[in-house]
Amino acid sequence: MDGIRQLVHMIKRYKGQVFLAGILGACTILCSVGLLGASAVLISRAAIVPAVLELMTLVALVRFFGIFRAVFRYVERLVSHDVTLKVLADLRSWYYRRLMPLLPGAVGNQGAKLFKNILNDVELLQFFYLRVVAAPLVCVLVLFVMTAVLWCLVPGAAVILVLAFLLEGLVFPLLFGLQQKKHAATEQNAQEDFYRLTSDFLLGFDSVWFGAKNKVQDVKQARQNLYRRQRTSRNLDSILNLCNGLTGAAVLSGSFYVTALAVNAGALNGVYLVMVPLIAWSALEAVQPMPLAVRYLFESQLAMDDMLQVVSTPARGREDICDIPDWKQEGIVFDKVRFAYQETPVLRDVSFRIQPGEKVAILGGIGSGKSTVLNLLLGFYRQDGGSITLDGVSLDAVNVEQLGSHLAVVRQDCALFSGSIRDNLRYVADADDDEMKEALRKAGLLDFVEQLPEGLDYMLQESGSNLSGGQKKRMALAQLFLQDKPVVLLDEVLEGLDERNISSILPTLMEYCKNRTMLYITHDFSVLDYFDRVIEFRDGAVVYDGTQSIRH
Amino acid sequence: MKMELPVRFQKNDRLYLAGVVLSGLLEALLIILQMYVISGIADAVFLKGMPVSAVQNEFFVLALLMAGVVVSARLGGWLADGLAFSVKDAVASLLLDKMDRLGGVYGSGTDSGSCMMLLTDGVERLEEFFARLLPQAVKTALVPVLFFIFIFPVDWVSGLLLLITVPIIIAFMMLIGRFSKSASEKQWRVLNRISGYLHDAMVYLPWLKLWGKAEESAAQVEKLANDFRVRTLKVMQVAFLSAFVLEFFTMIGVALVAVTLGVRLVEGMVDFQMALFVILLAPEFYVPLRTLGGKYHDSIRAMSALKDISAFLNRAEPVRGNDAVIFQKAPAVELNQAGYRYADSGFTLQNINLRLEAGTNTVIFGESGCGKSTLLGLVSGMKLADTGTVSWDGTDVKQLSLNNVREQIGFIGQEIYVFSGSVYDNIILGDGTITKEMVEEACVKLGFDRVVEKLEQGYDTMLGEGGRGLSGGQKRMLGIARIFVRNKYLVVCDEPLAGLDYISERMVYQALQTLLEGRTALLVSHREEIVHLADQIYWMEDGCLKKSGKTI
Repeated sequence: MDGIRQLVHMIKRYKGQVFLAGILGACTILCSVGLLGASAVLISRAAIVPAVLELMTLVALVRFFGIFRAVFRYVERLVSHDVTLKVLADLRSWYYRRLMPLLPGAVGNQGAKLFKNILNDVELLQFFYLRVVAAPLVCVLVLFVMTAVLWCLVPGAAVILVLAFLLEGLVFPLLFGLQQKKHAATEQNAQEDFYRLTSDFLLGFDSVWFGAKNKVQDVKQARQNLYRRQRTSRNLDSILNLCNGLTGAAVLSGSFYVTALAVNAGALNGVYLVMVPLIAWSALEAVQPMPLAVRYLFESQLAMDDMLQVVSTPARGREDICDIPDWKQEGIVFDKVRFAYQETPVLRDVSFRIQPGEKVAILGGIGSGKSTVLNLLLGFYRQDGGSITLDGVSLDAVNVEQLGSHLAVVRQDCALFSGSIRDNLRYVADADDDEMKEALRKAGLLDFVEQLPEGLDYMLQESGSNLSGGQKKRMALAQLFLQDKPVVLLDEVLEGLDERNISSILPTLMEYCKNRTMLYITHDFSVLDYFDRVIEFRDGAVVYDGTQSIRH
Repeated sequence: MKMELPVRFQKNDRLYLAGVVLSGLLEALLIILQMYVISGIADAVFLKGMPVSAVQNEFFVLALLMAGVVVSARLGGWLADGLAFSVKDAVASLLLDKMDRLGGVYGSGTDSGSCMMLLTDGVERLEEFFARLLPQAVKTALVPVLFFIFIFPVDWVSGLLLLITVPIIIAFMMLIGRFSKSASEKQWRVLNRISGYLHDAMVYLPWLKLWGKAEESAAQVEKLANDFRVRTLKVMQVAFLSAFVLEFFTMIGVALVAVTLGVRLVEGMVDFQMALFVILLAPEFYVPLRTLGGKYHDSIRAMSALKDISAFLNRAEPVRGNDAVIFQKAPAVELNQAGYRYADSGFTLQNINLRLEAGTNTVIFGESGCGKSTLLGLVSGMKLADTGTVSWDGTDVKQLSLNNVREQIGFIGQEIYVFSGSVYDNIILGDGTITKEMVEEACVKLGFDRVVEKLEQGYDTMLGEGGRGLSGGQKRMLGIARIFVRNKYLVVCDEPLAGLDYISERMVYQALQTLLEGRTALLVSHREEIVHLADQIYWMEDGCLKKSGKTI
C-alpha cells in the first residue's frame, strides 16, 4: 500500500482544488436531481393551483437547474483535469528524480523494456485522482445531501437510498472488483501470449517463411483463447450492470411505494409524491463510477508497486563522492582488473597502460570483454577487483559527472533525444550555430541538415527514430566534435557505415583526436593501420598488445 | 459518416444485430409503459386520494416493468458483445491470413509494427464499435422516434419542442466536434514529443550525467510536464465544449417542456396524468443521444481503425496458381526478362536475365539499395515478377500455390529471428516430421554443436524473449540449421556474413559450405569473402545485373 500512500500524498498538495472539484461534481448531479424533482413538483402543483402566477418560483427553479447542470459539469471537468495533469507532472518529475542517482547500474541491460513499462504505469496512474479519489468524494457528498433532504420528507425513502448507495457503491464494486481482479490476471496472461506469438509471427516471418503456416495457427489459437477470456470479463461486467440496474429499479419503485404510504397517512403533501422517488432514483448517478474506482485502485496499486520496486534497488553509483579530482597527464592504467556480469566472468585480471596522447585500437569478437573495458572506464560498471586509473585519478574516487568533464564518448547506441537537432547538440556543449554546423560538416551530416526546410530546428523523434542508422552515428560524431576533452572513447562508431564513408570520416576523426588519448573499440581489421597500437581481447583476457605491423 | 465494413456479416451476426435492435425497441417500449404506470399511480394517489392498497397491483406491475427495462438493456448489451466478438474473430482471421499471404520484407513488404497495431489496437477498436457504438447508434435512431410517436398524440406542443431541439443539438455537436478536432490535432504532435522526452531522458540518463546535464534534464522533465499540462488543458477547454452543448440543450429541452406543460396544466389544456407522463419521458428522450455524444471521440477512432483494416485487407496481392512441384534434386532457376516495380517508391528492377544452373552457387554483389533483396524475393517466389518470368526447372513460379513455394525453398534472411523456446524448438519450428535426433545430427554436420554444447542447458537452453540472447553469428547458424535439417534444394541467402566478427565469420562460412553442397543457391552480399563459395558472380547496380567472370 506504500504506493497508494505516496499517490495520496501527491494529491494532498492540491487539497483546495480537489474539494472544489468534488463540490462542483456533486452540484452537477444535484442539478439533474433538482431538475427532475422540480419538474415533478411543478406539474403536481399545476394540477391543483388556480393560477400560473403561483408557479413562478418553481418555474425559475426548473430553469436554474436546467442551465446550471451543464455549467457546473464544464467547470468541474476543467478543474479536475487540471488536478489530474498536475499530479501527472509531479509523478513524472518525482519519479525521474528518484531514478537519477540509480543510473547507471541499477537496471542493468533490461533498460529499454523497463522504461516502456514505467511510462505505461505513469500513463495509468495519472487517472488515479480522477477515478479513485474524485468519484468516491462526489458519491459521499451527494449521499449526504440527498439523505438529509429525503429524511425530512420521507424517512423510509432515505433508508432505501442509503441501502442502495451501500450496495452499488461498496458491496457490488468490491465483490465484482475481486472477481475482475482474478480474471484480469488470466486475461493479461492470455494477452501476453497472444502478443508474443503475434510478434513472433510478424518479426520471424522472413526467417522462417517456410514454417509460417504453423505460426498462423498458433496465433489464431492464442487469439481465440484471449477472446474467450475477454468475453468472460465482459459477461462479468454485464452481470454487475444488471445488479446495479435492478437496484435502481428497486429504489424507484420502493421509494415510490413508501412515499405513497406517507401521502395516504397525511405525513407528506401529495405534490411531492412523484418528486421523492424521482430524486432518489436520479441521485444514483453518483454511484455509477464506483466499480471503476475500485478496479482502478487495484490496478494503481500494482503499477505503483512496480515503479517503486525499480527505484528501491540500492544505488551502485558513486554519488556521494564530491572531492574534485586532480587530473594529471598520465594516461589510462588497468591493473589486474576483474569483472563478472551475472556471475559469468567477463574480464580476468586484465592489465595494460595507455600513454597520454596514444591512439589505441581495442580489438575483439562478441563477448571478448572489449566493451566491458569501456563501460568500466565510463563508470557505468564497477570492477570486482584490481584498479583503474585515469590520468592519475583512481576511478573509485570520481563520480560519473566528474568523469564526464574529462572524457568524451561515442557508443553504438547513440544518445539522441526527442527534440530539435540544435537541442541535441546543445546537450554536449553550449555551441553557436556556426560551431554546430562545422561539427555537422565534419561528421558528414551538414548536407542532410541543410536540405531540411527546418535546418537545425528539425525535430528528432523519440530516440532519434526518424533518422537512419548511419545518420544517428553521424549525429553522435557531431556531438563528439563539439566537445573538448583530453580522453576520447569510441565504441564501434563506424559499424554500419559503408567503406566509402568510413574512409572519409576516419581521417577527420584521427585529426580531431590528434592531441588526445584515444581508445577505439572495434572488430574491423581494416581500420587498424590508423592506430599506434592494438590491444586484442579474447575470452576476457588480453591476447595481444603491440603495434599493428607486428600483429600481422 | 460513410464507412465500409471489412467483413460481410455472417448469418448469426445478422441474428445478433436483429437481437440488438429488437431489445433496444423492447427497452424503449417498456420505459414508455413504466412511465405510464407511474403517472397512473400518482394520479390515483395524489389527485384522486386513493389508498395505496387500491393500487397495489400497479406497484407490482411497475416493479416488473422496471426490471424488464434493465433486463432488456443488458440483453441488448450481451447480444452486442456477441456480435462484436464474432466480428473481431472474423476480422482478425482475415488479417492474419492476409499477412501470411503477403509475407514480410522479402514478400510484399508489410511492416511488422503496423501489422501488430492492426491486429491488437485496430481489432480492439472494432469491439468498441460493435459492442458499444453500434447498439447506441441503433437506440439513438429508434428510441426518440418511438417516444415521439407516443408523446405527440398526447401533447403535440411538447412533442414539437423535443423534436426541434434534436437537430439543434446535432448541428452544434458537429460544429464543435470539427473545431475541437482540428485544435487537438495541432497539439497532438507537441504532446507526443513531450512524452517522448521522459522516455529518452530515462534511457540516456548515464549520458546526461557524463555531459553534466542530469540536473538540467530533471528540470526539463519538470518543465515539459508542466507544458504538457497547460497545452492539454487548452485542448480540453475546447473538447469539453461539445459535452457542454449536449448537456445544456438537453437540460434546457426538459426544462422547457416542464414549464410549458405546467402552464397549460393550470389553464386546463392537458390533464395531470398525461402531463406527468410526458415530463417523465422527456429526459429519457435525450438519453440515447447524450450517451452517443459522449462516445463521439471513440467513434472517430473506431472509424479510422475500420478504414485502416479495410485498406489493409484490400491491398493488392500476387495472383498465384494451384500447381505444385516437388524437388527431388537441386533445381535450375531461370529469370527471363523479369521485372518488378514498387508502387510506393517507384523503384524498379528491369529485364533481369539470370540462370542458376542446378546445384550451383551464384553470388551477387552490390551496394545496399541496389535491388538485391528484390531479386532474392523474385528467385525465392516470395515476390512475383510484374513482367517476364521466373521459373524453377521450367515451371513458372506464378503457377505454383503459395504453400508449395514455401515448402520448396530455404531462406536465410539478414535478420534471423529467434523465437522464445528451446534450441530444438527454434530449429524444428513446430514441424512434426523433424525429430530431435535429426536436429542434433544437422548441428554436428554444420559445426553448430560446439556452440550449442557451450550453452547452459545445451539444446534445451531457452532462447528469445525471456530466455538467452544469441550473438549475430549464432543466429546465422540457427538460420542455416533450420534449412539444413529440412533438406531444401533451393536456398537463398541475404548477406550471410554481414556484421560478424572474424571467428563467427569463419564458423558461418564453413556451415554455409556444408549447407550449399549439392543445392542450387543464390547469395547476395557486399562482403568479398563469400566469393570462394561462388560458381558464378554478378554485380548489381541500380536494378541492373552485370556478369563478372569467376575471377578472384
